[in-house]
Amino acid sequence: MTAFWTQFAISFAAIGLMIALAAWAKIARPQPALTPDQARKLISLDFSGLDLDLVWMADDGHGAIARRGDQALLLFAVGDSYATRCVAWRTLSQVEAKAGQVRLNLNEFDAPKAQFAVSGAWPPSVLQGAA
Amino acid sequence: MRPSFDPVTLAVPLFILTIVLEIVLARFGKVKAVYEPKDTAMSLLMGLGSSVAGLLTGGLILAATIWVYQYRLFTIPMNAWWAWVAILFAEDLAYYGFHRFSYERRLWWAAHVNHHSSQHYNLATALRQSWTGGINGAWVMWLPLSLLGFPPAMILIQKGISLVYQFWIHTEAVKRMPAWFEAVFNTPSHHRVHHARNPRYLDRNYGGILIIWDKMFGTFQPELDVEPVRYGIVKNLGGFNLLRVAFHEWVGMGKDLLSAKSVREAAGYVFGAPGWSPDGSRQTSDMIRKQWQDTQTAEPAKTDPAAV
Repeated sequence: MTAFWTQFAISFAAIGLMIALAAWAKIARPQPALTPDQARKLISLDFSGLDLDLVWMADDGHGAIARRGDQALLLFAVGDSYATRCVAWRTLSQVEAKAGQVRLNLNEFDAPKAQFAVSGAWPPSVLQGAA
Repeated sequence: MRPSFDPVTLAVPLFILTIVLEIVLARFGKVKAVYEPKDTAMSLLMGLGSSVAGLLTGGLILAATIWVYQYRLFTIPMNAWWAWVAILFAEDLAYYGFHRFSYERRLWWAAHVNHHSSQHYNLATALRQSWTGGINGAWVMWLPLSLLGFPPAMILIQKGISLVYQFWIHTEAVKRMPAWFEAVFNTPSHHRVHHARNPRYLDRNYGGILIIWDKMFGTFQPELDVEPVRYGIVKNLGGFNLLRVAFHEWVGMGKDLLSAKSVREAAGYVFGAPGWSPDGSRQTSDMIRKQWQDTQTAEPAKTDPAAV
């Protein structure tokens, strides 16, 4: 058992070094601001068959929201990648923007919150008229 | 519980060195590899945690293996060369069965999903191992090997060899192996398909060391240059939290069980396909693939070489 924990401790230290090396290497995916077409494509991959003409882009280009009737389709950044979720439009529209950010509690264990950079009015008018 | 000769323990320095090498070579543009630091941390810590989890359940699994071995049909000698050839095939077939069921039944998927929840594919992803694989009973797939007469130590060693083999195939640095190798063995190309979330690639290429089982049982899908792999799961994780990575599907299953209105619904949530729901409002892999195939039929895809 001592040998196991010795190996565990050495492995833990090695993990720290590998994470530091990965950070130093800067070889994550480049994440330029998304264009509306790119955002629409990413949302469509997870919600296929839906009409996504109206898409609101986050101020920093690292997120987007499409509205589908009473639902909002969210695209938000996770590290150098993206995740999507679907929430009720009513829930989203009632969230307040603070300090240029909209933080939405998703109440999901695997995705507790989504965050979007906003500069204009919230909820965005482009989506309000999309129902 | 580990045998005195444990291929996985012996391979740990190799794991570390090759991950370092992959990162450094990618840094200088020599190989293709993408590492996001937080994602890398999740993968490596899952690997470390799985070794502790293995301690907790290893004794039970070994006891079951030894118990079944008492009733063996044959006595297979551990020191015969042919026995090692036989167990290569037998263990790999057991692995295929375990792996396939891990996608077809949510109880097993709950333990396996975290190996697939990274949106990256690199050598660190290989170590993103389950913490809960020992508690859902998936290990019963290897018990027939004991019944056949393979000694428990031999089974454990071969399982370790298979795990070590499967480490190197988690990379984008290797595009294709020679055709003869791709035809018989699991390779980086075949396994990239396995880690994909593209509808075309979902639930394919379950093989461990050999890819022949997928070809025999109709689950083989080659990687197509016209359709780049998108890694991850159908519903990607929304953050980097180790406990959420390890347990999210278990929590989801628990919530569903609490909402079940009948025994049938409860059974469906546990033993049904991942994505099963009583009203069909969620999507299983088969439903996603069917929807995609319908789209392809209606509008031949630019990405479908068969349609060109």
